[in-house]
Amino acid sequence: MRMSTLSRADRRVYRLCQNAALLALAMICSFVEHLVPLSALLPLPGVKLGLANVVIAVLFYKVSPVDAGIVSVLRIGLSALLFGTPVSLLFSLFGGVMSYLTLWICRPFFGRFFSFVGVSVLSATGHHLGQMTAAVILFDTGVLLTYLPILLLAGLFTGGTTGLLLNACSTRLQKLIKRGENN
Amino acid sequence: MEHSKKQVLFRRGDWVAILIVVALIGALWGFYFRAEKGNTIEISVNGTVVHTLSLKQNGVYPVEANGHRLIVHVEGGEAFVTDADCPDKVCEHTGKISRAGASIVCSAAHVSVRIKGEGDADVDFVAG
Repeated sequence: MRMSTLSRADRRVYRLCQNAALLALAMICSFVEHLVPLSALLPLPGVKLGLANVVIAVLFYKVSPVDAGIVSVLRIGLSALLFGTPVSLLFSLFGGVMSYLTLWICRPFFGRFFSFVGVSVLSATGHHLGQMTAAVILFDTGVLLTYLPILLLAGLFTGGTTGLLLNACSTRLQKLIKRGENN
Repeated sequence: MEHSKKQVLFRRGDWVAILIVVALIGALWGFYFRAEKGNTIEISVNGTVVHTLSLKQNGVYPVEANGHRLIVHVEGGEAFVTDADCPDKVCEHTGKISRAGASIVCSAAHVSVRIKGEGDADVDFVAG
């Protein structure tokens, strides 16, 4: 059965299940990062690989940007509930919103001009700018001057890594998503 | 293979994206190093200034706030934090600061150390 043969109601159920499964996958990514924190290797707060972004980016570019936004917000809320604090929720929320906006900005260029590496590097930068906005609201403007360049440099590496990971596995992840549509 | 054909590949534009970020980092760092040397530091707890100290005078200032302790050092025109008992140690890792506008933030204790540049004109300020 093809997607086009599904009724409207079936399509809604399909979309719900697909997003639920991808939310679970994104949660696993967050959990793995929580178990093996990058900060043990590199003592920089606010720096992590952003594995959940792999799921969000595939969902955004290969399925639906709107669904990616919903899954992203739910993922941030749930992982803050499980592993975080109210302060870390604010930080991830600002970071999440900014990197989501970056994904929209990158949309016209994706595929033609750059691959997931460019997208990932820019959205990591967006994420860190968002986190810094939260830091400025909560603490002090001075952190911008001292800590932002360090965060952005780290984002270059973490974004690059997840970008390469995305380039390597997006087709497979996409196949997993689309498989259900064809049977 | 079907999927290697469809695989997303690294493109030239990716370098452009990386260069944009590198340029942004460079600009921020350039901005930082052009900032004048500060001459006083302000230690704030919960957003209100509790101590204003000269950067020219070496000293050790223990701070206790919101159930956390840390020690602010001033040495040779630079300020830094040691012996913080917060779990993340951001303030210690920030290192030594000396430029006006720079700050060290300890989020757990809600303490911030900030460098001020106003006051008597120092050599760096006059020069550039």
